[in-house]
Amino acid sequence: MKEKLRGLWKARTPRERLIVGALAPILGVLFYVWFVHSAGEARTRLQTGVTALREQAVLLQQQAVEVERLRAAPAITPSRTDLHTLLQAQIGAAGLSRALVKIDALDVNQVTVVFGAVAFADWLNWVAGLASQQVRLKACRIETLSTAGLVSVTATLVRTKT
Amino acid sequence: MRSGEFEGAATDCGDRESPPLSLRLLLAEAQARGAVPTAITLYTSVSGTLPALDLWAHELGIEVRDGGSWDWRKAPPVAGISLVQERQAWRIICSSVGSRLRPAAWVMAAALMIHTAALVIDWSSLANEQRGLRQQMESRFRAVFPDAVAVVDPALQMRRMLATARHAAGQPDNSDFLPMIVQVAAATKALPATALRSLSYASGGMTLELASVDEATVRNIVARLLQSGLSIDTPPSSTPQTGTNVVLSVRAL
Repeated sequence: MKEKLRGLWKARTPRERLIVGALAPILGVLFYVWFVHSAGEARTRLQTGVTALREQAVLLQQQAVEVERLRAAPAITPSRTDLHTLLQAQIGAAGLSRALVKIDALDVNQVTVVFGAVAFADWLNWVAGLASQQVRLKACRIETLSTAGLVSVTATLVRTKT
Repeated sequence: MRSGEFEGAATDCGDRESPPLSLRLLLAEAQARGAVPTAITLYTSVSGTLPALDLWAHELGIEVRDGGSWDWRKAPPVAGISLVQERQAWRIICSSVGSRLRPAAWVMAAALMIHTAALVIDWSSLANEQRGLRQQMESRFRAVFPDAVAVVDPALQMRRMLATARHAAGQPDNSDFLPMIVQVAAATKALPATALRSLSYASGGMTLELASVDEATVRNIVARLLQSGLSIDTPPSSTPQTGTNVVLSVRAL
């Protein structure tokens, strides 16, 4: 290999040798600068990724401990009342019946309610109160109305399955 | 016939008795300049072709000598330009500069190699740590959820499983509507009552549609949301003008 290269070098004319001799260091320096720049950028990206991963690993460890703790806790017993009935009763108790437009049961543990014009604070208190019944908001869309404090709400509520 | 240091020409129509016409013309030209040579030396390339020197001297009016046969090796060594010597001088200069710079070049090459090696080692070390952390997270996830079929993103999957576990235990999760609305309300409390036109919540994400807000207000809200531990999924891409709607999508970390 070395002899082959030497032969190739000797086969060049002096002018070609001069050109090759001048270009080789320039190309070498350019390649080195490109390599160091690329490696530096890749290293910065990797460092950022590793830092984020370290934080995620710590968080995951904490979450894993919490999951194990929650599993070990005694299971809750959700209300056996039908969710549709339960929600209607809760709406009545909260004084929101007049604003209720529609209430539909999607399944045993999932109900959609539509309020036409309801005070946002009252509706929010009602949703917060449902937490004690193991019912939570799965999805909703709230739109403000022209009257201050009043909103129209379409919400899907679910009950935790046992 | 040599007429200068680097000049010469072939003669014409001369013979044994009479010199070439060009030689006569050159002598006439030299005579006009007042620089007539004292003698002419003749060299022959073929033996036995020497002309009659006395006849040539008579014709030309100056002495003509026999210089013998011509041999280029008899030329004085300093005559003309020696290309070989010039090239050697150039080589000598390059070689001396090169030999003086060689230690510096070696030191520089060694420094660059050490730098390259350090970069590669550092990069490999970080890559190994990244691989190790991923394996550690996956194994921790599998330890908690041995029934998991595929673990693609253990951090995200653990986050979702924790939310499920919290709901099963009757506890609120950060991605629930109530904790999020508390944080969003705190971040948007400075807004006028009519600025928040609608709010949607689904799958742990909340979308706010704001009306008639300026860029500074939006930036302020985004900063507050980030401070309260929420992430902005789709930050406002364009600079909002006064009177336009802005949509912000936020998510619990």
